[in-house]
Amino acid sequence: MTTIKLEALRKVYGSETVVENTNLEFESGNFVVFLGPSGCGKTTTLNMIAGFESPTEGQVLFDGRAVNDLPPHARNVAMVFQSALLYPHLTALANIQMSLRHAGLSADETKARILSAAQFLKVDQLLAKKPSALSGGERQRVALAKAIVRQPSVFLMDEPFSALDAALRNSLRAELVHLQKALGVTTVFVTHDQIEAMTMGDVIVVMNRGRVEQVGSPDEIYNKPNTRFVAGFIGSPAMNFIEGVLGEGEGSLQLRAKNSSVVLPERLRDRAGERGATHWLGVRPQHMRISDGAVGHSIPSEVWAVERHGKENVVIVQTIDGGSMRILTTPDVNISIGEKIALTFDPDRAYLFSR
Amino acid sequence: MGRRLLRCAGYGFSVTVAVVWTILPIYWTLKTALFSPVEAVAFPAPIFPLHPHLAAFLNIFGFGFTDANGQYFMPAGQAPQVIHGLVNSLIVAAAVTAITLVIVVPLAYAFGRFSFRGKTALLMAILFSVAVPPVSTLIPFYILFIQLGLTGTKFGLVIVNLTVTVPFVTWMLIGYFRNLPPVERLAQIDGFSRLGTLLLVVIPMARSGIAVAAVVSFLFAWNEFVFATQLVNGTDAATLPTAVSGFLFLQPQPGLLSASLWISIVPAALVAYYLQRHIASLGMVDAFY
Repeated sequence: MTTIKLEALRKVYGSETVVENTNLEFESGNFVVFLGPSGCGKTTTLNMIAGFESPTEGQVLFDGRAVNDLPPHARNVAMVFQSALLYPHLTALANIQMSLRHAGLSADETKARILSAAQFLKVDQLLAKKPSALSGGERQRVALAKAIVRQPSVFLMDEPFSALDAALRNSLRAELVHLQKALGVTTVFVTHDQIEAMTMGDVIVVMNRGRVEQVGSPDEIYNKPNTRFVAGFIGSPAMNFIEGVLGEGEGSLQLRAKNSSVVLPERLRDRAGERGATHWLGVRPQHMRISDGAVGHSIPSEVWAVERHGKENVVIVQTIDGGSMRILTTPDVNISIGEKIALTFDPDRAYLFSR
Repeated sequence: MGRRLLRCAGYGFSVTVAVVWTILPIYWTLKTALFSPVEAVAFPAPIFPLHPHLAAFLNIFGFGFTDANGQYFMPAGQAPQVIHGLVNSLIVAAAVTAITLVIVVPLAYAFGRFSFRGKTALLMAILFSVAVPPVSTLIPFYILFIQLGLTGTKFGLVIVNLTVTVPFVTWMLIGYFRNLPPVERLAQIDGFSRLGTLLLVVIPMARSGIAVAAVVSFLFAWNEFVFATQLVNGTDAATLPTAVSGFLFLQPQPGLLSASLWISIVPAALVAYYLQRHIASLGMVDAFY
């Protein structure tokens, strides 16, 4: 039950700034997800919170106390690593026991704690086995048992599910959220998978190239993205972007691309930057509409592929300006490859970005 | 059907060749050691010793032996040297193995896991040391040892063996340590110091690699003949291979020679046998990652 604060945190390797001036604050019991592509600095930030790396500048504070000078063990954090890292030469029981080496508990207490942690994660029948005799999912559960048995102030997780198959990932995801809510431990979870972030986090920190792009709840991140990066990173299939030059015409804002132009909804006027500068209109695939062609200012396109997902179809088109777009439709819509269609969008759900 | 038969036959043939190739010299030596004097001088040598007796084995250790016919076999004149050689070989080989392991395990671990200034240069130094033929250092070492007074000592012999085993075994183990799972972070979280991680986590994890290193070092030192002959032959520190060579230069006594050859195999075989079960567990560490 610890609050975490990152104050002016910066990490530099040689001449490269891997994490730029970062200021974040997390409440106790929050499930915080650091989300971003590889190399964005999320793992480095996690390592600084854990104590594996010391920041070049700034501080990490647990409950208001700076922990910069404390080694990982002294910070009372438990960490779960990628690929279910365990000691391969020890049994699951011995592995879990390792976490309690310095806890100063009696032998009975230690045994009781290990057993309850193992039961919580349903690995109590596997305690006598060595990691090589366990499946990937079982190993990760043992690693989680190893983490919770310490009763730490903070859980840190570095892409713990990335090495597992999709079905296992889904089931473990739900279990982990349930576990975290039951224990109420502040958790920092690093991932590059935006679906994981959206489904698990209370707070998502989107990072790109060492910088924090946006911090917010999944709802905020999804519906109110601040930057083009966040808008394009979250949501599957990804948001479509129409690039063009912003101009004024016929009493409304227009975005002029090479061969087409789009009328921008009035509500986007206060997001507009310089007239004449390049802007991007963002529309999610489910908010795109296939028009009957007769509507003005629609984007002529040709159907390039159709993906059937069972409950919906994704229609991939090549626009007249050469870009590609994805439209989400219901499965009954019948469209064939090569068909010429015109695209428009729901004006209440579009975004405008000036960079 | 015919093809499967051919494959089975080919497989059986290869296995037979491999077994014979390995066992035959050992068996031949054993039977020569067990020959009665009549068989020993027979030509061609009999395939089985029809009247085996243990005279040779007892003679080389300094005991006389009277066989069933009342014939007495004198203890070998070299007997004290053989026993002494056996003891010296054990001491030298054990020392070389122990020192090699103590030096090489942290060294290979550091090379396999960490990056530090001068790493490439040091790595190259080690690899070049492996490439240098040991014999080419024989004369320089001899001259140096005369000046240092180390000829005829086990200490000198151990040093010379180490110049070969340390680079080679380091080279062998670097790749092994590099492939171990990255448990350092895990150990840091669990409260191990760096040294603690090495001693309490990595070394138990690396049992199989260390066993291989021990076997290699021991066998090299045990079998080492060239340096031993030059540096310690005829002295107090003579090792077994050199003591055995003494049998070659006197009247040919094949029985005694064979018996002493045979006993020189035994300790090495025991060491390899004892450690091979750790090598067998190599599968467990490797298969995981």
